[in-house]
Amino acid sequence: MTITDLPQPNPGRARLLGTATLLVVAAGSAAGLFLVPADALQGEVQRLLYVHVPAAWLAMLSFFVVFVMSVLYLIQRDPKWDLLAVSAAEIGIVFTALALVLGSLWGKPTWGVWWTWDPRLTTTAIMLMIYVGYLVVRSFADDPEKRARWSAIIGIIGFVDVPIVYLSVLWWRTLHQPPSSPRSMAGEFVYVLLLNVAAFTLLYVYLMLRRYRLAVAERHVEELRLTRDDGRIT
Amino acid sequence: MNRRRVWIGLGLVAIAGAITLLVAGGLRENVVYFLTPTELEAKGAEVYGAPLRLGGQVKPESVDWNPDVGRLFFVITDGETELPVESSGAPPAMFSEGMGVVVEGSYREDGVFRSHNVMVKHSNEYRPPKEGEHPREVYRSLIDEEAGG
Amino acid sequence: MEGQPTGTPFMVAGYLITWAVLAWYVWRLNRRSADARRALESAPATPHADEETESN
Repeated sequence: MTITDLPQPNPGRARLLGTATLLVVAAGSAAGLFLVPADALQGEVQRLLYVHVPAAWLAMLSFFVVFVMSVLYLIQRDPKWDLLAVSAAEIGIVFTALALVLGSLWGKPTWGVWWTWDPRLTTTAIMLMIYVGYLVVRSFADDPEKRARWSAIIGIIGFVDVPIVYLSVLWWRTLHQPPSSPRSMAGEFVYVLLLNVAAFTLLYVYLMLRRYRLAVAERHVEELRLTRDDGRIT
Repeated sequence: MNRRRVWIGLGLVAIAGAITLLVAGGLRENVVYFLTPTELEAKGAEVYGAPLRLGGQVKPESVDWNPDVGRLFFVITDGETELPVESSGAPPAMFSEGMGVVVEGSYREDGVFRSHNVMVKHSNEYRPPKEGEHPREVYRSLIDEEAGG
Repeated sequence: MEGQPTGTPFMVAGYLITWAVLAWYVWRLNRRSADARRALESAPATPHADEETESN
């Protein structure tokens, strides 16, 4: 399996998906900002729920994808799994950071602090560190195969923290509230949250397509450079 | 060769699972973000002066906020044990009677918890305001009530 | 307790940051994709041809 066999997503289709995503994400934000009233107790700041929760959801979805792709890579050694894993890892980092920033903005006016070392926040910060480490390790490895193997191992072992992040609010005493459910939220709030979760999931598909296409292109560039360097040495 | 890789993959997944169980099992008992008033009282003298967090509910009608000197007194309760808390500085806007709070500070010999940081623990319940209720006004009246009381 | 922040500016900042981060990430994807495309186009031969001459 050489890298020339890597499937290339269709750019035209990506552009169409991009436009659709933009519209749905805009609709989700508009619904969260204007369609529903603000929470009775918290007021306007509670509208952050509609972006904070989808961002956290995408972070965990991304790292689950990294985990699955890493397992597939180790079994099949097909570079496509490695490139899908690194794509998911990078997107996961972006959304973990976004969820942390949004949570911080939500925490200051409600909890009274930007940050506290409660189990949810701490395990989330660890999750961010694990996947930043994943990218750092990749940047150090010159040999593509070794890079893929080592990062697959990190992608599997590192996933340990992800379910712990989710369960932290159920297992331990935290400042962070437990997950919301249709039972704990007014119906109209649930629909707007679901719309935003769906919009972000569509966004995830779009970003994965784009990022994977980039990963394939960069892998070709790297291969060019490697063969050129080989030619120079021999 | 391919079968060996399947085993390597499965082995790593098993290791990851084992780590999760070990970490979760070990941490589950040991990670304590805050103590309850009952737990703190049981520890008593051994934690005097040590920096720690205390969590519970604000006992209704126990809040005494003096804006002139920036002092806040209230009683924190877990339904079983009640402890007086003294804090300097204004609490967060959502601080109110019956609300969950986590306070950072230390337990003193006089039985008062001296706090330098009051954090509000809100629930995961969200609902639109009832008829005639305006969210931002609710937010404000909450602050005014405390300022008054 | 006057002067306590109401949540609105935090909420607005959150939405603005969300949109800014998404726009930044897509912009970065565009830029990196263009860079990679340029590198491949300026190469003496196509990567496919390269690969084949290498292995043959």
